[in-house]
Amino acid sequence: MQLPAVAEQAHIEDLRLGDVPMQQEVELVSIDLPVELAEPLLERGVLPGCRICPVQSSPGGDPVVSVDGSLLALRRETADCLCVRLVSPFQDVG
Amino acid sequence: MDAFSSTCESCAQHREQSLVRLGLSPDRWDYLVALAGNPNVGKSTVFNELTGLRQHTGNWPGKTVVRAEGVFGYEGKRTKVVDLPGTYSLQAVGVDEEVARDFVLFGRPDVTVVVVDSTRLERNLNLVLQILEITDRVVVFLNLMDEARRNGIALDPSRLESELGVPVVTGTAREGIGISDLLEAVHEVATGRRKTSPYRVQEHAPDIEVVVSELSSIVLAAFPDVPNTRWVSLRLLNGDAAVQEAVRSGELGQLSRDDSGEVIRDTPEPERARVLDAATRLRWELPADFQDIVTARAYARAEAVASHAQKKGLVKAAFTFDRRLDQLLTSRLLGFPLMLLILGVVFWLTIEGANVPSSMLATLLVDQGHSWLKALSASAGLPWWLDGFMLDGVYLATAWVISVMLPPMAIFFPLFTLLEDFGYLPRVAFNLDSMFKKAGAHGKQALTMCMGFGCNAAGVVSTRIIDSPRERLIAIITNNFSLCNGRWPTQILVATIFIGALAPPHLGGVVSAAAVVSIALLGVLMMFLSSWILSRTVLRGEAASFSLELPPYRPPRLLQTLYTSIIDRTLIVLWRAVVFAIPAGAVIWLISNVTIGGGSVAEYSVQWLEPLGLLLGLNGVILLAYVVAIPANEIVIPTILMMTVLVTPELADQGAGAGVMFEEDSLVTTGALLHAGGWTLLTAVNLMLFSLLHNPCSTTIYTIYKETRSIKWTALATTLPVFMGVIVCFLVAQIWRLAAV
Ligand SMILES: Nc1nc2c(ncn2[C@@H]2O[C@H](COP(=O)(O)OP(=O)(O)O)[C@@H](O)[C@H]2O)c(=O)[nH]1
Ligand SMILES: [Mg+2]
Repeated sequence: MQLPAVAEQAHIEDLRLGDVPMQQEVELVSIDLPVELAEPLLERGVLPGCRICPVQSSPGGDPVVSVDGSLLALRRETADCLCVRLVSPFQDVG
Repeated sequence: MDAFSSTCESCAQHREQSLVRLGLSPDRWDYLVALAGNPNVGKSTVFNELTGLRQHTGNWPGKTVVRAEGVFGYEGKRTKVVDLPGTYSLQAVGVDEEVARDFVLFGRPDVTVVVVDSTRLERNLNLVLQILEITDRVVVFLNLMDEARRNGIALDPSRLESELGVPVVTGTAREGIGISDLLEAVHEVATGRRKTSPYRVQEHAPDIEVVVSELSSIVLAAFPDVPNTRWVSLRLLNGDAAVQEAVRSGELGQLSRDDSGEVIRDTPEPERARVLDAATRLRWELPADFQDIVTARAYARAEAVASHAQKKGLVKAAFTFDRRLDQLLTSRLLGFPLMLLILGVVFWLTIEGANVPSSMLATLLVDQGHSWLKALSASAGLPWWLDGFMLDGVYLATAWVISVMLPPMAIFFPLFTLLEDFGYLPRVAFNLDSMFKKAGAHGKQALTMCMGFGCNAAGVVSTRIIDSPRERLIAIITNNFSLCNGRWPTQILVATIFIGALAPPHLGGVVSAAAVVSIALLGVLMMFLSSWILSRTVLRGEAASFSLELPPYRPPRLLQTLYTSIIDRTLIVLWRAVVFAIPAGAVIWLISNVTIGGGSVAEYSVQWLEPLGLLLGLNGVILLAYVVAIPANEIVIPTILMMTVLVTPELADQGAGAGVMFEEDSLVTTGALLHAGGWTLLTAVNLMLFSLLHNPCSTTIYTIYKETRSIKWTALATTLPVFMGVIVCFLVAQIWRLAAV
């Protein structure tokens, strides 16, 4: 589902959370998933406009992200459906 | 009434002295209070504080799967509390959401307490706002204030209170802080002394607003007493089946009834139908993505309210310790080895620690207790069959089960609960998720698997945390591959006698623990394998997307943990084992003493099963024991020992007579006995395998049926493990014998 983005930036629309390096904080632009799959994410605070930061990856290569002060484990496929944009070139740990 | 007059010693707060915890006495009450909230925010902890009960708490989302109820007295009034399952919203389609929503809406609680995690205000407020839409009798409890303080989060409760329009109380439930304020607030709202004016959505996006207002006025005409017609309209437009049904049956009109005794008009059928028709018609006038728009707005509102209540200017110290620990426990390199190590240490502590108390109990209950009772019955002159049936059958079976099971459980369960409280289980789920994903299963299946290590029936119930039906079925069907505690005594005993004995004495414990861990791991592998097969055959489908919250690590409270795990888990499981051991003891004695032309029923059965048993690398005794022990796995070992004595001629004078559950407590003698019964290392290994891979116990089968409501899935879940067990044992036996030649 496409939730209203805070600031549309068409040219980097392609950046997905799955591609973001560890410890790099980004801002969520939209969630490219059908509503019933997006809902559990929204409920856990993964909302467009929020700051989100991959903090580590599992033995199987799936990311853990820090969002709204808590840790959320995602599957890689899910992370690839989250469109994000960079907020700062600096590294910022959660 | 006694409970009313006694004051509670453990209360720190003086105002709490008028709180009387009444535990379970749900016969009558003055007020009904519902506890709602996100998962893992401390609802059950609040519930326990209020009622004095010991509802299970644990540090992972989704463990309150059944609704718990309790009662407390406050200022002379009895209040019934219902602990609802944790949900992030009331709108999603899961079982838990439905239970929680239905209760808040149709259970008509006098007060709904929403427990909120203060460190995650924004996300929690989303649920608070949804509940405020349904009912105005709400108290918000900002829990986990200690964690908020530790993490540099400062809140402004009075600001929140004025924005939400309902009482807001802060506290740390685990330390009992804030409970007295909560009681006071609940009491004021329940008695109506305090009026609330809940925050509600005033205006939707323009095109939606038009439709909602129109439907809302139709609802109002039909149900003039319904407090929030706008919410009802929105739910109807969303096609919410429960609300539609409430309109159809007219129940909606009754929801607003309070105790003031005023008569509420029943809405006649044509008016009800008109509401539903209007909803169907108006839905077409809405934009296609109207649900998305409404949802997005709702989250934006929660965010706004949260940001107002959060004091600015404080640095948010990240949860550094947690991060460090996570980097270790879920790291690519060390995640798995540490998991195995932790599991190994838990089993090793259980094996080593249970040894001595187990043989002490056996001496006390089996040796001394039994002879003492025998002497007593002889002096009372009981007939041989009654004496045999009662003492040699029923009593010995029970005594055996207690001495074999109690010590390991009293060690394992507290250890397991400590890990659970600490927050380790979700990390296990996370580590294993990639494997579950490959198997086409849900990541949370790892959590239900962990529950299964305790008890498969509990594991099956806990699959409710998996919201997609296909993955949930897979989790239910494969839960039996988690080696439940009823099967460890078998594993531990056999591993100690046959495998640990191969190692030098000082390493025996470690080697036995390693053997048991390997069996448990094999179970996990079989779970992956069968999940994989299922998701490619009868339960075809792709793994749904999955997200799992990793809760903060929380230091477990030792005493509390010890208490709850002993009471909740150990004694309950032990009681169940005893209940099943009693009839099993009777059956064993009967089949050993009822003779048909020369031999006993047991002897005939063993002879008949022997060829099949040998083919599987087992023997007839073991197979018969598994038939007798279908009600409960716990009694397999006692049954095997007793029947081995019976059918091995050289041992016939060892027991006190046919069908006496064997009385030896020392491992050496048990080992000698089994060797004399023709046991080899292969028998031992295959018994361990078969004990892992065979049908679930009767309780689990019944639970599976209750959860799936399907004979087909229950039958599959029952036969699949036996089928696998037979194949595995057969193959191992053949390969073993080939290798031995
Ligand atoms: N630090 C801290 N931990 C708490 C508090 N309240 C509950 N907990 C812990 O949080 C975890 C979840 O609690 P539980 O009552 O099971 O949550 P529920 O899922 O909402 O029922 C448990 O480990 C509790 O011991 C609190 O006020 N402070
Ligand atoms: Mg709970």
